Amino acid sequence: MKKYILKASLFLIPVFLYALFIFVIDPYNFFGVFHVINDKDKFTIIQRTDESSPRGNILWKTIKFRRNPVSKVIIGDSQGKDINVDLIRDITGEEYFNFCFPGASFNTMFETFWFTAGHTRLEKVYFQVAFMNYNAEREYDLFHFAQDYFKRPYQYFTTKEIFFDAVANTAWAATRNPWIISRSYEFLPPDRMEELAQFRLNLFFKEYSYPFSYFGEFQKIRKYCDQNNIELSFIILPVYEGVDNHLKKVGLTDELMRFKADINTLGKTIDLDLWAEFKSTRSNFIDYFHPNQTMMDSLVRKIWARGESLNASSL
Amino acid sequence: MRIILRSFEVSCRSVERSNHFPQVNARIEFNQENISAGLRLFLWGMFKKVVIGNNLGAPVGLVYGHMDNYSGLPLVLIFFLQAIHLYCDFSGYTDMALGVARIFGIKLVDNFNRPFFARNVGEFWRRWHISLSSWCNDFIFSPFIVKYRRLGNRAAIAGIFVSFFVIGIWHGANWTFIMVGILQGVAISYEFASKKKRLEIASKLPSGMVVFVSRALTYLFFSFTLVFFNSHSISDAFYFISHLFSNFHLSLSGNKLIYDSAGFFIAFAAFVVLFVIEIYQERGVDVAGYFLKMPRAVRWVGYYLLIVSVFYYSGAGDTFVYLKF
Repeated sequence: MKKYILKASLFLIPVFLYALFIFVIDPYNFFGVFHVINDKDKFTIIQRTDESSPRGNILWKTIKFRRNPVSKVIIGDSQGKDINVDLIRDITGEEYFNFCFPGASFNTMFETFWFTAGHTRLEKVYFQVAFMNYNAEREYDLFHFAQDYFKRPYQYFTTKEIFFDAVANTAWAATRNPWIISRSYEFLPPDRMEELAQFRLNLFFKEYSYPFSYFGEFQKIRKYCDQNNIELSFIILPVYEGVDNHLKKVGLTDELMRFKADINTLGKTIDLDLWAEFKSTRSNFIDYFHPNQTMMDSLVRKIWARGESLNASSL
Repeated sequence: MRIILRSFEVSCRSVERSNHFPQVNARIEFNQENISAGLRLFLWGMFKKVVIGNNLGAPVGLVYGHMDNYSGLPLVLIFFLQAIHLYCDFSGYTDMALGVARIFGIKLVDNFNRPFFARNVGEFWRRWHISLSSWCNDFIFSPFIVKYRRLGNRAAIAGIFVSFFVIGIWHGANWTFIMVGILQGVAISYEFASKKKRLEIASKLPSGMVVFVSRALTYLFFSFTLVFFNSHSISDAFYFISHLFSNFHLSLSGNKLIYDSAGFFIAFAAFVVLFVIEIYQERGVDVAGYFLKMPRAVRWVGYYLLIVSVFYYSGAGDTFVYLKF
């Protein structure tokens, strides 16, 4: 039996090495013990593909927030992912946490809000909201990706994506091969980008039904914020005019207006989607839905530099 | 400990006989041979259950849950996959239970014997869910034909129907399960009544072709009955059958069927490996014995591959199909 136990121990050596590899590389700072690879590289690796980005952003940001909760948060989807909180700090002197995830649905954002409210005493909450997700046909919740790891930490070792992230981190640190980090849609050539834009228009607006439950959940959040003295605001970022044209074509313009009216009833709303000049310039956007980083920075300046007085007409 | 083991064994829906109970009550015997054999069987069962069963179970569940959304090729695909899904799910779970029991020195009866190699429906039931079919044979069919032997062949046919009616009801009080039982009863009665004629035809044909066609027809028939087994109602089953070839396009696009394509193709590849192993076993090759004689490094790589597959490609299913029955 002693010999058998020895053999079993030998058998487990690769398993131990595998676990050690993930523990040391720690692609999401889940343990935060080793920092062999710097955070900037880890975050770059998370965003290397359209598949790794949603899951990766959620887990990365959730772990970071759990460790250092911030009382001012921006919650949203991929449109708000590039809102630069360092720039906001330079403008306002206030520390914000960007909790925007690629692929986040409204349900994901609601879960994120309750998560932040459960971890800190919130002061300011900005919801970056988009009509493309204000659709009952797009009802799903990505936030469970992060919650799963907190409920069952062993999954950090048994999920293949975490292992692949650890390998990608190691490969990027060792080779700096741009192929490793440049496979998301943002790196597509212009013709493929147009193809993707059309695909996404179809994906988001092929089927539409008004999301009664979202509005109800927002009302709950509104009430919670009022009771807890939390400043609640909404940001609607601009989309390329091609989206508006498509909405006209498929007869969803009224629904877009209804969405904006709903959001307006919930609290202070900064609607940058009314900025015609910005919307008509294709080069302001990566695809039809996402302003590029330079434009996003200018939008951030417009929102936070003008503060309370900002409204569409002031643009 | 015995209670836990017994619950596990019962929940795998293996119908054990009283002559196995003494070893359950006997002193638990830990030894290297039992532990190794048990762990191997458990790992192999888990691989079948989670890598193949769960991954194939996702599209099967999707189609039977939202049948109105599908027609044509997706239904044809599910028609052929559902038997593989059920086999890997159920036999995988059984192997896991057998493996756990074996670790504690308890040897339970195997519940499956390569059912997809059966050449007729009667043989299929001697290879599929053996514990249930042999129990029905011993406690329903045999006493029935002994009691009514004066009726000759009619007693045998009636006995078959009664046995399969019980098997159908055993799965649940639903018309779909009763329909499965009736269909099996009809098929076996037909085989019983037409045996001479079929043998006569077969003797005039090449034996390889007879074996292949017989196995293919048995598989097709079992898959057909699974449409009723998996459907929520008889009308759902008729929808499935009537839309197999209507609105038929050679495309799986439209309503999405396979969400985790990597998992699905790994499951399919894993089934091909399993099937090849069973081909050799069917030819009398002791595949497990051959594997155990390989160098340790090769064996360990095999174990690691199974472990990695189980963790990385375990599919979304978290239930055991047969826990419902």
